[in-house]
Amino acid sequence: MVRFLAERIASAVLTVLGASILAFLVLRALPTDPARLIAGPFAKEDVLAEVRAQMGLNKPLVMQYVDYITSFLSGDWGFSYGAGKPVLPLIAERLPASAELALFSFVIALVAAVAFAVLVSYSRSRILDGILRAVSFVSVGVPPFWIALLLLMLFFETLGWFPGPVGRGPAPQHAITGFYTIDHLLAGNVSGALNALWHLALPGIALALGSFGYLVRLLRANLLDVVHEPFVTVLHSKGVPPVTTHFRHILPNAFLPTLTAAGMILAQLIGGSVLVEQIFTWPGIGTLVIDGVTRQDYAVVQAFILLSALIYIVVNLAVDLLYGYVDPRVRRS
Amino acid sequence: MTAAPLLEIANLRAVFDTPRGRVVSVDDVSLSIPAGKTLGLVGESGSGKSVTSLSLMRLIARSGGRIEAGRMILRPAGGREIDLAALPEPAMREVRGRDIAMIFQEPMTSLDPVWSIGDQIAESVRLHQGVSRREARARAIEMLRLVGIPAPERRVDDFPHQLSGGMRQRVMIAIALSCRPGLLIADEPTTALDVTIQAQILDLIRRLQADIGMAVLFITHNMGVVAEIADRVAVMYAGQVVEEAPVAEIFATPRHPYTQGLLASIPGTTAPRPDRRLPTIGGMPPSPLNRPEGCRFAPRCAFATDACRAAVPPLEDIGGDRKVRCIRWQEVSQ
Repeated sequence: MVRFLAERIASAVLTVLGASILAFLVLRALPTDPARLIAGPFAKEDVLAEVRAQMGLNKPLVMQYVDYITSFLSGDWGFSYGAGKPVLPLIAERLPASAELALFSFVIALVAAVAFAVLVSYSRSRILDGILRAVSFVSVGVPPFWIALLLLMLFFETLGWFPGPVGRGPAPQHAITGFYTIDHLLAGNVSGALNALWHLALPGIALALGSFGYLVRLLRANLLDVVHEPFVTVLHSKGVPPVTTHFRHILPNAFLPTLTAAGMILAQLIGGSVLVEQIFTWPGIGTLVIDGVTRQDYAVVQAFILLSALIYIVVNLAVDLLYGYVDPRVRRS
Repeated sequence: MTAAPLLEIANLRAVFDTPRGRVVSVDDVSLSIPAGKTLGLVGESGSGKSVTSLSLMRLIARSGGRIEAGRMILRPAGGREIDLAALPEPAMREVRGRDIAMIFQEPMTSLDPVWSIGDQIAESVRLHQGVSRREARARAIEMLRLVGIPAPERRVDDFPHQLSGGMRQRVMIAIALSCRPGLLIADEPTTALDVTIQAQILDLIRRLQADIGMAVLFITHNMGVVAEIADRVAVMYAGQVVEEAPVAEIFATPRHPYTQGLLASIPGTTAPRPDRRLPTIGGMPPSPLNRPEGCRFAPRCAFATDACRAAVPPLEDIGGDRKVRCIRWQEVSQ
């Protein structure tokens, strides 16, 4: 178990290093000159040289990378010239909004995927199975921003059931976790929490649909595989009722291989909701990144790339460790 | 014989509807097993022996088949009489695991990989006897000791992947016998195991059979195993029983040409001679979609005549508690 842990953590650290090199090089490879961006188009060559020296851009590439990594680790993620603020607090104040939206849509996707996959594999109905496969096929293929627009047209404009693209709704009095739903609940404000959920619903569903389609297809296939395992015949021969067999034996066996995919999806949701955030004017890191790209505010983009990689790797590490806990075959070996 | 047998199968017919037509896997099979005795059901792959056992457990629908005709009377302790073929599914679930239990060929894949072996034994006990979690665990440990697993208090929390094939088959037996069933169906339980482990498992089944007093339907294609464990033998060929007799008689005086062929093809029953090859039965069993009109063994039989090919021979009672499905058994036996 110790070796398993050490191996996983070592490989995670290596992956983060790789991602940081990539983030570093991609921005260095761009044709724009950061010094000119700061000093302005009419700056003289000696001013530019001074700015470059100030930013360390005249050092060798390797040294620049070392500088970059050490300052990243010490919490200096660069300065956003667009926002006029250091990048770290800028991201820190916006991350909870993205994380709440991502977790919310992840829960929707996972719960719905389990429910529908179990329903189809248990009922063995070809019609239900056909419908589910069609839905999952479409939901994986359709881009989330388009779903977001459809949802807004239907549930906001036409029916008026959900709020429009106005962000997260009123903020709670005290920011404790940064999640509006939880902070409202902690303050004893149930209607505030419900209101936060109400604002989460449309962007959450828009984001969840693709993940749902992917997870449900995977889980359905796993369930139908496990249903035909010999041990299921043995369970029937023991007189175990079909519902018990399905929920307590088949589902756990089918769910284990889905765990890895679920982890990847969670990580992707946290970093990858850029367009949907933009549509709903969600104050998350997605909107921050779009601003960063359009204003050529590279410190923000660079930090975002590395942060996404970091989240991805941490979530996957967590999933690996979770395997060690829930799968007896991994636990003991 | 005074008491009615524990199990009486009468005219069982089990069929599968396949895209290429209707397949009669088990055709007019009648068998009976007295309480505490062992019937060996022998035949090659596709002869219908496993379908017979799955029909008994009413698990045949899982593989796409159905029971089309026949009765399967079970007389569990307490003087009841149940027709398994007509029993509603909820009542059948209570019979499974409590009155009839089954062990399977593949111990490596017969256990749920994410449940501990103790929980898998306890599941049966709790289901059928409604005991507490704690009691069920104690029973699981007791069963593990009974099937010869060392240090059962420690092993009870092990998971299947931590056990060898032989040990897993012992766990399967522990699960099957945890509710002391009147009938155990053993479907080739030693086929996937090493020879030394095979002998241990056979010993174990025999010993527990004596302890619990249960009847055993032992399905195998291995005549050597039959000789070890069975009181009576039924030989199946192409979905039908072709011969049935006490075990000693089957080996001493096989009456059906197919049984004779089976026995002759066991290595080591005749003195090995370098100039002689092991006898085999020529040809292949008929496709279940296209069986011969008359005797199903006729195309492979050295004794076959036009009369054999004309009509299906009846399973004839030939005295001495024996039956044979061959119109020429008297000539064949000479």
